[in-house]
Parts: sequence; C-alpha cells; structure tokens
Amino acid sequence: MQRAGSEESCLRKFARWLIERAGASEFTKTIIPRHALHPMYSLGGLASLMFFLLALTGIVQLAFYTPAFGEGNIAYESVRHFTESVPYGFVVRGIHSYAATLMILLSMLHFLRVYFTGAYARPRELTYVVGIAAGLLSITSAFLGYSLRMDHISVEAIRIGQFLVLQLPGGSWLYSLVFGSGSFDDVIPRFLALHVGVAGLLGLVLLLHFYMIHAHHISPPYDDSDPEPAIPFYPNFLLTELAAAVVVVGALVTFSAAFPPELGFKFVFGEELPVGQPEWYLMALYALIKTGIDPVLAGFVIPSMGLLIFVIMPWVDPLYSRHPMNRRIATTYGLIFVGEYVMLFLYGQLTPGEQIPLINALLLAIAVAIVMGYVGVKLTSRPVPPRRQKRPSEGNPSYAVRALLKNVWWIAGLLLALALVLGGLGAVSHLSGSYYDAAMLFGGSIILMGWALFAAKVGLVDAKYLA
Amino acid sequence: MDAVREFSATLLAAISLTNLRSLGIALFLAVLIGAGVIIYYFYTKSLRSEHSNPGNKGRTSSRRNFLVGVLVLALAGFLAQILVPLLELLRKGTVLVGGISSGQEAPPKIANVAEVPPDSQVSFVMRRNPDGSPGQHPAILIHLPEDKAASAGKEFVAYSAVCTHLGCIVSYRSEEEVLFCPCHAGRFDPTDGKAISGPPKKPLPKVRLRIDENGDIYAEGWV
Repeated sequence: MQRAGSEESCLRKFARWLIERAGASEFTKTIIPRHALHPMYSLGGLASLMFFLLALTGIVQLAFYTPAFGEGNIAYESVRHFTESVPYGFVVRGIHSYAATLMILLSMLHFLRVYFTGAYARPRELTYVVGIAAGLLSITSAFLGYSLRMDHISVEAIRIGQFLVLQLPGGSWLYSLVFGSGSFDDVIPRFLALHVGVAGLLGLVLLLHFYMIHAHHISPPYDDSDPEPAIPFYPNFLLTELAAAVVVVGALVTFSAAFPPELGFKFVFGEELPVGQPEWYLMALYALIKTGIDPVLAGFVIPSMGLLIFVIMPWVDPLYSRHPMNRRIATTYGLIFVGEYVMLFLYGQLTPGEQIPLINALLLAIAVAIVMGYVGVKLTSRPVPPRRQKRPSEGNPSYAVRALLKNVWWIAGLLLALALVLGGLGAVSHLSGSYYDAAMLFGGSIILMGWALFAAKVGLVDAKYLA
Repeated sequence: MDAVREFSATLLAAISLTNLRSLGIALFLAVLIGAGVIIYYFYTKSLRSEHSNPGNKGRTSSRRNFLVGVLVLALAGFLAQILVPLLELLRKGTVLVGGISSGQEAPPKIANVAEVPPDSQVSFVMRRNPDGSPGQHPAILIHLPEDKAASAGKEFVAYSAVCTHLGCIVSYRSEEEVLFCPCHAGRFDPTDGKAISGPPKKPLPKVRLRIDENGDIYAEGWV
C-alpha cells in the first residue's frame, strides 16, 4: 500500500478487507522480480488465460451441441447451426477453436522457456513434471474436442484413434471401454464426456501447478544473477495481467469474426471425402505413424521415450549452472528433440495422403540429430560465468519516463474515447442484427479498452517504480 | 520437390482467396499485438522498486481521479461488450433438432444389378462391424471388370471399405483395377480383398452378398 491509512478511500479499505479475509494477503506482499516481467515469462499465464476462455466458451457450446450421429450426422449439423444461425455463435466457437490452438502453442513455448533456462532446478522439479502432465492432458482434450465436429477431419482422427487403441496389448478390451460399440452413435457422446472430463482434470492439475509455483516462487534469473525486485504483484502486476487479458480477448473476438472457425466437409456414409489431415500439434506423431513402422512403436513407445527423457531431465542434468550454455546434456537433447519434432511436422505437412518411406525418415532423423547435436555441443563448449549484477542508476528519471508520465492521462483518455466510439458503432450494428460487424467492432473496442486500462494503470500505480 | 511446389501453390491459393479486408484485419491485429509486446518490453526495462520516482509528487489529484475513471470505465466497457453478445446468444439461440433413429432395420439393399455397370463401385453401410459388434461400418460393392470376373468366378464382390492399415476409406480405382487407400497408397486385390502393395498387411473383410430374382443386391453379413 502506497498511502498512509488516514488517506485511504473507502474503496481501498474494502479491497484490503476483502483480500485479508479471503486469505490472500500474502499476494499483496509478493514482489515480482524484474526478469519475470520479460514477455517470455508471460507464456504460461497466457496459456492459463486460454484455459479460462475455453471453459467459458465450452460451457456455452454444451447447451447447443447435439451429441448424436443418427441418420444424417446430427452432431455436424448442430455445430454448423451454432456457427451460422445462432447469434454470435461463430465468435464463441471461434474463440474456443483458436484458444485451443493457442493454448497448446503457448504451452509448448512455455515448456521450452522453462526447459532451456533450467527453471526445473531444485526445488521446482515436480512443478515441471506436473506442467508436462498438464500439456499432455491439453493435447488429449484438444484431440477429443476437434473430433466432436464430425467433419472429414474428425472422422479421420476418430478412425486413427480407434486403430491405435486396437493395436495396444489388451486393445479390444480397451476399445470397448473407450469407444463402446465403435459406431459414431456411441463414440460421439463418449468423446463429449471425455472431452469435458479431461478438461476438468486439466483444470485440477493446473491448480496444483499454480499452487506449486506459489509455494516455490518464480525461478531466479537463468544467468545466475540475483533477482532484482521490480513491482508488487498487487495491484501493479495484477493490473498488467488484467490489461493483457482484455487485449487478448479483444483480439480473439475480432479474429473469430474476421476468420470464422474451420468446419470441414460433412461426413456421410457412402460419400467420398478428401483425406483429413490432423491438427498441427499431432502432425509430427502422424508423420511417425506414416513411416509404416509398428504403430505401437510409432504412436506410443517412441513419443513416450522422448517425453520420458524430458521428465527425468531435472534429475539427470547436473545443473552446476542454469545457463543453457552451461548445461550440455539438457541443451543438446532439447535441441535434437525440437529439431526432430519440426522435421517430422514439416515432412507430415508436405506429404498429405502419402506414405513416408522409412529410409528417408530415418536418414533425415539422423541428419537432424547430427546437425542439432553439433550445434548443442558447440554452444555448450565454453562455460558462461555468472552475470555480475548491474546496480540500478540513481537520480532523476529519464526524459522518456518523464514524458510518458506527463502525457499518460490524455493517452489513456484518448484510447478510451476511441474504444467507446468503436463500441458505440458495434452497438448500432448489434441492434440492427449484423452480428459479424458487431463482433468485429466490439473486438476492436475491447482491444483499445485493454490498452486504456494499461495506460491508466501506468499513471496510477506504476509511476513511483519508473526510473 | 513436387510436394514443396504443391504446398506453395496451395499457400498462394489460400492467400488469393482471402479478401483484402481479412488481410487488413490480420495485419491490424498483428501490429496491435506486436507493438504491444515491444512497448511492454521496453517499458519493463525502466521499472525499479529500489528507486522511488521523485517526479511522482507533482501530480494533481484531479488527474488521478481521471485515471481511476478511465480504469473503471474501460473495465465496465469490456464486461458490457462481452455480456451483450453472450446474453443475445443465450436468449435467441436455438438448438437444432433432427430425426435420430436407432438404425435397426432389415439387411439393406445396396443397389440393383442394372445400376452398377462393370468396372464400377457403390458405397454402402453395414449395420455390424466385421467382429459382429453393432455399428456403422463403411463397405464397398464392386462390379468386377470382365477379366477379373472370369478369374474370380463371380461378377459382384463386396468388402469392408476400412483400410486394414490405419482405417481410412478405400475406393475402387478402375484404371489400375485395384482397391486403393488414399491415405498411404495401400492397394488391395478386388477379386479376393488381399493386400497387394503399400503398408496394409491384412486382407479386407468380405461381405456376403445375395442377389434376388429382380437383380437387387443385399448385404447379408460378413463372410
């Protein structure tokens, strides 16, 4: 709290009471270190925001989705009806679809950040392992989710899923457990239940992940320098997060309105359809299956081996230092894995509907391993000493900061005014029933509101931390 | 190389299909988000907690109140613009209802002999999977070309249309006289369903056919 008690407004007093009674007063004492303000550190938080958006839009869609195949693919028709005929249905489904993709992309980038900066070092090993589990659950849930559309892509995905399960030891027992009789009338309701169930489990695992981050605090800088305190979590950082969340929601609304979500060809028995390609995050796995090696090996054994090495890395990596250039084993393995993943993804993407010759894949894999391994070894050949701390400069704030603080009030006002104009135009479109235009304008307005929020926050609470 | 050329061709087609408005919106979003990340990155560089900004003291309380107003209004505007569409959706959205049937019927008639000329195919659905469990299993009826019909000893054959490799749907290719799986180029012999080339190893399950006196073809079950 910046002010003395006597000057406190009643709103502030209420906020303090609320925080104290909610048992969250610890958060008001948390100081966010400066290195954690780097955009690289926001990836995990943004992925969580995607999860929150997925839960909200998912609940709305549950009320409109018909989990049945019936005579003429009712599930697909209900999705199409929701997208085309329900007001703002395209926005809700668009956010759900794009947020799912973004959540997986952001989680992967977040994983890479954690892995390459050695953030899994003692005592955060389990936070890291729980995070990997969360990533796997989100991919499972995404797979189940895009199967529910029942277009040609979904049907392909369901068929390959059924096939892979049948190949496992005890496959037919497991098959009827997951797919029932295997007909679409049985598969769709089960996939819906599993999709929601796995997402719920993911929510619980994420809570555990957050709790562990809270308990162990954020990791210190990877270059082994001392963390430098920057701004308090409450209210400064919380407001930054809020503004970022508003901007991202606005961008998703605009994007969904401009590019309505994908819906492939309706699947009907007896009609020939193009071969559906899996989503990008499963493409590497699909390429591996396409090489024609034993499907259990390609679909389960090889990917789990690759992941298992990541899981045990905190106990294998000697971690004399957390700098990626000082961790030969971890950095080299990480680079080789990323190289192989990208190679398989590209190979799969470039050969739709074709078999991949095993010998080609094998030679490419070896070539990638050699190149990435060489890069990894080369990068880690000279140890990097811990960075000496730079003391913050004392004295008057820089010219840029003074200019910013002097002008921030009218910038915030201008952004809000622009947002209100766009919002007003959106309201007019909304009332006249043109929902696409309304969504686009509302989205633009929300983005500007987020920026206005950020500008106001800079002027209100960040001023005394700016140098 | 062909694959790369095809890929770039589809990419170009996708770009030309996208109208200018969409491209503009994408650019607008990219600039807004990109600029945001860059501004934020440089902004965080000047945040220091050990250093209290002396320039802070001169600010008037009216500007402070103005900023509080902006903050509250922006939040309220955000919530309103989420809630208005959501309420509209929930109030006016309808659920699609259609005829849902359990699919319990007599063995389905696939086609009449006259409708299927030699060297052609008809897709149909089996009510049971090859292992006997109830389901909707895609299948395919083929009128064999004359030479194949002579060697097989019958004109009409039917198989499961589910490739035994990864479960894609196979179809008859008259130019090669094979059953072809488009996913990974698996080929099956149309006379007996055995795998000829490509990744599949197991043969396609056969369908027992019955042709009545009118020339109607029925799928009786799996062989």
